Amino acid sequence: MIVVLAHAGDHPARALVEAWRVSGAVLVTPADLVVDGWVVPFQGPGGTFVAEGRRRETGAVTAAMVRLGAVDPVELPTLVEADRSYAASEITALLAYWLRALRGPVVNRPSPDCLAGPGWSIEEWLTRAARAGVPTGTWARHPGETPPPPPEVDWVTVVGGEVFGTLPAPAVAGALATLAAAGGVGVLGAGFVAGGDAAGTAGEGRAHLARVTLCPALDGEDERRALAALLARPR
Amino acid sequence: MILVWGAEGDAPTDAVVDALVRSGAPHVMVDQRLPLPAPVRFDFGGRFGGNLGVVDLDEVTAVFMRPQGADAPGDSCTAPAERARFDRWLLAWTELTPALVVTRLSAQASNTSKLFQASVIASSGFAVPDSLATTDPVAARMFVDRHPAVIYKSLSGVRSIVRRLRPDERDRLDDVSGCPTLFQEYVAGTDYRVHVVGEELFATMVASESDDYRYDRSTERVAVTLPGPLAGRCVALARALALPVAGIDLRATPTGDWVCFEVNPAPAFPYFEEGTEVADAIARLLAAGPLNGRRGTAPVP
Repeated sequence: MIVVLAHAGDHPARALVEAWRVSGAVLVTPADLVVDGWVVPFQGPGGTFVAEGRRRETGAVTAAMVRLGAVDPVELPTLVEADRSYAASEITALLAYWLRALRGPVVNRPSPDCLAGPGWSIEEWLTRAARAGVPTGTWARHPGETPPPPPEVDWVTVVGGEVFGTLPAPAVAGALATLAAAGGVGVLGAGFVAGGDAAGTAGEGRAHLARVTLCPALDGEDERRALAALLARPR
Repeated sequence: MILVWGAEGDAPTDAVVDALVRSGAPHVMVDQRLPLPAPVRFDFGGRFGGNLGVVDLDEVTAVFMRPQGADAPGDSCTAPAERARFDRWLLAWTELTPALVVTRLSAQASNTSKLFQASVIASSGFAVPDSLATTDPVAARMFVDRHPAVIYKSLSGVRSIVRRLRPDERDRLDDVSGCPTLFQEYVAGTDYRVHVVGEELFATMVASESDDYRYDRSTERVAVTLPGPLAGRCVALARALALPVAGIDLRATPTGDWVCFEVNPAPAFPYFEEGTEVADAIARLLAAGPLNGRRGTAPVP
């Protein structure tokens, strides 16, 4: 059974589950965490979880795909408003342990500060990307100045070291794979500005990385095939 | 140059600043309660640097940081959005700088999931109480029945009062279906708080009748020396969690076992000591900077 953990409104996640339904894929959303059915013994065998409103055996999970950095209190409408923030923290903490305790592959593996991979800010991603050889440009900012809105970008997806999408230059593929490896992530979305200066990020006229996501759309057949292969790899 | 980032009035931050003054180590403070120093500039890209007005980030060899949350009292001159951007960028810089950082937020995050942290604690050779996280009232009752006494507390880093479950509270176990809850077997014994600073250790025995001594005003605290092997395990645990400074909560059982409950990545150490030993040790650690490949993670022997 493949578990896809995602926000309730994550349409690409729902599409993945439907595509893999015959293989037993199930969707877990935050609403599944505030119902009877989760039993998570510390370092113990067994245990159960809830997906799509039904209790299931944790031991039956073969792999997990994580598309949720943290639980947002607004996704817990069945709780009284005063309790939602606390419950969201508790659910996120539970999932951080549960995902790491699964025996099969988990893509992306949670870090202590983000369920979907490293909890890096965009500034960290861009700095680490530059160090990996991805073009990012350099720029200066003053906190008193309102930054420009995120620029329009063309997305490229990295899945298990394979790169899908139109790259600014062929050599960028290896650099992106290096960046993904540095972050310990199997799946990564990289958004490139086509060229010239955009949104105040000085790319010196070259196409450059401006946005990063740990939850790319994954709507291409090749991307899904690569993801399925990644989820089938022994941990 | 040592950078201190936090708020004056925060006891650990004040204690470290006082220790730096005593030691004569060059340092500057960015106080969250004061307007941002000017001019502030951050440089992004392959080289992540900048100037905070009071110091060029390239000159910083060590950082002591205890930034308060967005809801903490700040200055009234700086716009909240400007303050938020400053905090976010400086946090990002602390993650990337080769300076010694006490303590990076990414390392502090292990405490946001007690069970995740417990798995690291167990790997370091400490006993960990039998624990269950659940939304199932039946499973909760079975766990409670399996142990003479059980405590419950938060799973996350959100501060909660640790309480023993009373027999008359069994009916309340139905409530767990609305939110995952952490139950642990109650472990009888004597509490110890161990502060690890680099490779230095400062242990305090805590005598209290309460399930959570933090809320007991009659708590007594006595400095003690830990047995050698146990001290080594404490240093190894802090290293495993990438914490240059850690507050480890232990309990010595009547049978001689040492159980570890959790590790505080940003400990409020002044509460536990009469003197200034921990603060002075932190000042020494900061003054040593990123030596021996330490780079803000755990000390390297």
